[in-house]
Amino acid sequence: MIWNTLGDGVRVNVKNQICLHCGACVGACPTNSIFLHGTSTIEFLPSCTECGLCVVVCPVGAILETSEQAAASILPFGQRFPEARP
Amino acid sequence: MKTVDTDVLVVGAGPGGSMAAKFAARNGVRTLLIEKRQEIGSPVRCAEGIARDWMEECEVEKDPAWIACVPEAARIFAPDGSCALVHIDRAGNEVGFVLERALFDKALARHAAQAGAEIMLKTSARDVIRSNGAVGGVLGQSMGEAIEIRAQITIAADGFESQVARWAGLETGLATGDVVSTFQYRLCNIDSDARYCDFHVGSFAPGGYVWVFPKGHNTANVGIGVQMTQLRTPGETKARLDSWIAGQPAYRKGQPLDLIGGAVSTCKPLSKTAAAGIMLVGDAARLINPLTGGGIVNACISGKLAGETAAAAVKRGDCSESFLQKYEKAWRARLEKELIRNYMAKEKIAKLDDEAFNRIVQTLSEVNPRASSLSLLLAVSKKHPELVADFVELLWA
Repeated sequence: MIWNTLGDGVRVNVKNQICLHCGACVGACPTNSIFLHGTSTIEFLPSCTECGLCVVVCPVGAILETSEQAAASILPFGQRFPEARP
Repeated sequence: MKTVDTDVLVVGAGPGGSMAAKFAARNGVRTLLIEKRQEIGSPVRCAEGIARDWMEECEVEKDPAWIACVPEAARIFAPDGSCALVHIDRAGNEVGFVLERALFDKALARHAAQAGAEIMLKTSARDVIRSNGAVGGVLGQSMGEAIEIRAQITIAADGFESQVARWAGLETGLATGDVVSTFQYRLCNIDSDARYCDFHVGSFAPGGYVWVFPKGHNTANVGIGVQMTQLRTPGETKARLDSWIAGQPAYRKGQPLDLIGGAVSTCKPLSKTAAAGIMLVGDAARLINPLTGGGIVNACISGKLAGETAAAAVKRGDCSESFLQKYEKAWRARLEKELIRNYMAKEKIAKLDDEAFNRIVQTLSEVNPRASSLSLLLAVSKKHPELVADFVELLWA
């Protein structure tokens, strides 16, 4: 199950059949905007900035971006990552 | 809302958390250890390699129940297939034993309980309680019910996610170059040599490596770590491991018994791991060895130091940031120099190409496998001074 609390429009899409609930996205998220409930639910909070780090750190590719804005900027990943601690 | 009161709250029952709970409880303060999962130690998120020389310090007795394999040496394989042997006493942090992590974690939690700690499962934190500028516990859920846990000291042992620290306003954010995405299979039915823990370096695992750690019975943990800045497509970490395994005759017929994903930090030590009412330990404090990605030993050592400091703070009635500096100073004295040296080494190694790896492994293979890790580094510095130029003074420190 995915709780999307980002507001208007779905901007991330977690494939729950693939997600391992390993927490890689949670730790990599620069704004602490992802929360795993137990071992079955992943929640994205409104503080998400669509930076895309979670998409690329996910070892199995369970997180995809679906908005037009995100899709337009999807490649190359490396060029649009913020440095959380420069 | 359910309310619970305790002296010391430990969030997360991994090795660091259980160790903190053990040393807090043993020193006579009320200690509560909470774990979000329903079973301590499971699912395992670990390659399961660990050193041998830390257990006395943390008062842990070796138990065959949680040792899967006792390898003799580490082998480092270059892209061209050449191999350097490093005897296990000298191989650093990762390869003294291969653990049964699920049983190891339960054993450490049992030690905490025997020392007097209480354990609550399926209990997760969702935010910290702030009172008078200090952390005063957490808000969360326990068995589906909202819960408020008030504590004089909160020890954040919540792993790589490190959320408790960030809710408390401590900076644990990571630069992308300091995050390694990981994926591992436990493969059975392979040709595995249980005498060796293997590390494969090369451009198939940029900024990381492939490991093969034996579990006995022709089974091994076969995994990969890739620096996040090197990843371009969703699911690339798994794809890179699949493609590496497909090229290995010894492993490609293997069948998976489990698969796990995750990430590790490979950053410099944080500037601050304690504030009023809170201390960070283990992966949550970013104490992972930046060179190997191993975290268990540093989690145990920092957990012990935090648990002792927490008990002393509660007894003195002083949980201020200045008192908790005792913990900050203790772990830095014990671990910081090596963390910085390994961070510098990792920054260099992450930039090497296959040709450089071939040359370095060749150099290492010419050193006596029982030589100390320092003499290994010195051998490298002799032939490839550019690799250690930035931290050569640390070799002599």
